Amino acid sequence: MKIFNTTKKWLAVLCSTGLIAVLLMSASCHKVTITNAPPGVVNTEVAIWYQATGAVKAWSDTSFQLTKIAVELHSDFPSEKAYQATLTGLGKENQLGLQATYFLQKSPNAFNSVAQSGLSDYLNQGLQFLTFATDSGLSQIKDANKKAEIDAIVAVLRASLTTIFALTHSTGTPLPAVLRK
Amino acid sequence: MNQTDFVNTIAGDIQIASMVEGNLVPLIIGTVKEVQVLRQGQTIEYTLAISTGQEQLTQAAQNFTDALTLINQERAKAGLPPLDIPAPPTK
Repeated sequence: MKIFNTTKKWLAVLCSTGLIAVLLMSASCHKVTITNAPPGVVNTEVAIWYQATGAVKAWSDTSFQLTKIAVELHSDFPSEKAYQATLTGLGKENQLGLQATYFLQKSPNAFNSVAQSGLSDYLNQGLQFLTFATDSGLSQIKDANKKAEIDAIVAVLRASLTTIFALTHSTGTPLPAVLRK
Repeated sequence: MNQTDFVNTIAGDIQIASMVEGNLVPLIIGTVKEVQVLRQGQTIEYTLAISTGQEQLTQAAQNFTDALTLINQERAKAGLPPLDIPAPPTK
């Protein structure tokens, strides 16, 4: 029964994220076609930019969700130090997400390989702070159901970041270790 | 609907498609209908793509800002200085 409840909660979290369509749209790297682009604008670059906006939106949804859950579970952290370290990690990760968002807002018509690399830099740094946050405290939550809920959100968050990685790297590029966790 | 029905309904509605784009997207989650859309591809007009993308970014900025605001409220309770909330670039 405990396993069933955990599974049910995991599925409920997945259903409630509101990310599904966005992630799918983002994952279809080579299957979005842009029509009627103005002269001088590269269709494929706009297509990647468009998909990246969906993935960044998904990143923000799950990041905010994870932050809210961390605050709700304040008393479940092993110590105040672990709680604050987790929030610091999440804060840095949210800062990078916000910077990535502003970066994308500026570049819809020029999302070339240089710009894609710039977005990837935000992604890599954000991943490091997400890992720091999970290692600092989120992974130490004892309650199995709450832990399952956190793990489900982190999994979707990683999926959105993986999508950004896929969009900004050529096919066949190995995933960074932090995304293979 | 009993608990078993709930699981069956969810299981019928959700499809996890792995390895969609080689090994780059290891986990994609969506309804069956959305996975079908993925397989068929998507064509979108430029103006709509830009407006939709910018709208998504506006919502993303709000989410990240709300998360940072929440974190800073918690830091204030603990007597810690706030984290910087990056401002949008000037146009």
